[in-house]
Amino acid sequence: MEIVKLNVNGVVRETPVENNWTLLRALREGLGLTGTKCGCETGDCGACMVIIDGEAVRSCLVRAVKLEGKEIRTIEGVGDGEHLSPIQEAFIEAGAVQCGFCIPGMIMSAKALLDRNPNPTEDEVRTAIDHNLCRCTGYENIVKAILLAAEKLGKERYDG
Amino acid sequence: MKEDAYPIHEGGNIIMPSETVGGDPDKAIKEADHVITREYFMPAVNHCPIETHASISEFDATGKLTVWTPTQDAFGQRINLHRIFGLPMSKIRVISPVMGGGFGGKIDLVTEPVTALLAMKTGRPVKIVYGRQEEFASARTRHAAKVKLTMGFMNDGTITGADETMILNAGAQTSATMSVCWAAGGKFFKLLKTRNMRFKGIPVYTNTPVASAMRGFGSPQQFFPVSSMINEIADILGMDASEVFLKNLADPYEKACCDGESFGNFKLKDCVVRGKELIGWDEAVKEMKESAERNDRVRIGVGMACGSHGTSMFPFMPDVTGITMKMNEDGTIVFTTGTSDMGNGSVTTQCMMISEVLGIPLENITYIKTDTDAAMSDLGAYASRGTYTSGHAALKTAEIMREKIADIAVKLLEADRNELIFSENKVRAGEKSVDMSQIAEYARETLQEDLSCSYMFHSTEGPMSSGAHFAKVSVDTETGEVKILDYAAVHDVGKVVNPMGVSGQLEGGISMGLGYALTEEMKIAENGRCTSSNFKAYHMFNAAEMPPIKTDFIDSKEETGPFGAKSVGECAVVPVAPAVINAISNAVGCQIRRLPARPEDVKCAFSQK
Repeated sequence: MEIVKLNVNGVVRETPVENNWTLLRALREGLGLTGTKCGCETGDCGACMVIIDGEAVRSCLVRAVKLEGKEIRTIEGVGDGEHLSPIQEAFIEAGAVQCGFCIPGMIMSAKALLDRNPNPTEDEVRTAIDHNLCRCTGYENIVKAILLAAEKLGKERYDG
Repeated sequence: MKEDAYPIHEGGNIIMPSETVGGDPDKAIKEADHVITREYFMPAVNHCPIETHASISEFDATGKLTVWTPTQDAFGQRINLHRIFGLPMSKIRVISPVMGGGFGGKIDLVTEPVTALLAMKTGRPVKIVYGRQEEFASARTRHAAKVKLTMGFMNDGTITGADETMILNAGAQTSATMSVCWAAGGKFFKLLKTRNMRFKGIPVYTNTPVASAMRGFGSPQQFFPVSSMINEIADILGMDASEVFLKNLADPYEKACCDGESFGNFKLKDCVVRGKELIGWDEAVKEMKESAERNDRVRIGVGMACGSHGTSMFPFMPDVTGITMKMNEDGTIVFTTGTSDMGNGSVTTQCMMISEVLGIPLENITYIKTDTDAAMSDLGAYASRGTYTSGHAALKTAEIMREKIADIAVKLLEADRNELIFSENKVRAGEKSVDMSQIAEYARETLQEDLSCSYMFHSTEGPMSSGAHFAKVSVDTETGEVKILDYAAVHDVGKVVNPMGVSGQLEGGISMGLGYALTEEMKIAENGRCTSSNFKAYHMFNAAEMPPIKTDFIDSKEETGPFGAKSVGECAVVPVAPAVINAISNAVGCQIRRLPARPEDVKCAFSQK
């Protein structure tokens, strides 16, 4: 094992990892951040999506030891700890959550999209989540939720 | 099945054939104007819950086994663990905390006996989490099926007789195979008006992964052949496919010709009429004909399909859900339910129904769920029984609680019982009202009791749920590439009690069915080994691949259901594959009878027309 310093959700924390551990494993087993889910470990399902330096990244495809100095955001860092973020609220309001297992990854993909493109079209939303598989919803309400989140965030910017 | 085949188990590879007959199919087929016989093939597919199978077992110093597992059937798992390990049920506790999707795949014991045994042997807690490759190879699948179907029909499109033989691949173990076989057979008799039908089911062992329950439980394997053949009949007779469906679909309260069982308030024809409007059927048919006449490389196709599915396990098993409920000191409610929720919202529906009956807002209602030590029994989250049975149990228990609340309210309000209105966390009588917290306070301070009750509901009916789906596609006849341009689905679910929940179920069913139609298949090597190992090769639909979807529900009322509701969960997936395949077949002018239809299959069908 070696010690790696990871900047996760704005806090730099040390955790012991094996050299070949993925970020997914370091988050779940090292840092106890189990909101990031494991659905395949082959980069196909997107349940483990996190944001690294602004980009949505499947955390099962990157090694933890390579990520010192990078800004990593996980589902635990989307709300402020007391309140849900507008994206999370939108997912609830739109009925986007059935079993919920894919949702942390969906929300991270949605956040990465909305951070760089505040007013996406439906096609852009669908493309942004095309690495996130969901077996429950048929994606309809997830797409609606992300468009609703864009609206909520826009209003927040306007009001704020 | 061949005489010299290697026996997977003693006694041969045919598990137990079944046969059901209604009327005189042989005579009806012989006397029909036309007779066609066709063979259909559907592969094994995987449930693909994004959460794989996992369990944790602990065996403590008192000799008690506790298993935490995302299961659809906690009580069934306890029975089977009791049989396996010989422990009394008081020494086995199964808890299903939350589930990352089930779709039928999390009913059987899979990892649980292994973690339980290892926990008992080591005295330590043991956890197993399947990887995705293990999920494909050693969880469960939908049964692959080979179907031979014969229909006799008249010049006007009336189907007078049908005779079907279905071979179901159980894989290496029986699991739920016999039940799936009987269910597929039963549903053969519950779609059409046809009075002369025979179903033969032949479930067989093979050296392939184990098949068991999966969303639809025999219905997808039943209604792909039936809906495909109706499409072909329309083509042979030069009729509009929707007309042939409407001519042959059963009316409400039809009785099955094999056993006289009622379909219930079966409004499938209304679904067809509404679905045709949603997809713009007549216009789409016109476009299809024009693209064929022009001999376009990219052809338009439109197709439809119908399916039905039961609601609850009645009358095959005691279809029960038990609930206990109490009012807290502040007038809020907590109930204990055996119902599993795999994301389909069964427990949410229970909360909503309790809220409706008691006039207590949802945020004041909480629950303990799916713990075999805490809850009364529930048959399990399968057989599309969540809303109908588990919902009904919640409704009935809440009604008992309402009477207890009313006992106190009439005293506090000095009002007549029949004046009482339960709403906004209050009981009202005219101008006067009393808050639920005052009811709870009176119970505790004056009566010195907590208001509590329990009730076990059992179904006494199993009405049929149904749906009609429509697809409009474009097909590149040179590459075989299919694009779904529009999709519409209309279901008869009785009264819609949770609009967002029911459309979510239907949309999810459609995405799963599109995979069944076009992409998904468990790859099995010559030696029986599963070679599907990841999502990339298996290919479920993603968000960018989904077509535009329109859904609607016929506002019918099932008088035996809670608030008039029946089921949707499984039925949602049933008509999808045949609707898409019929649309493609109509575009290329040749009926495809094998799933999935990949571009090379579509291209091949076009060249054979």
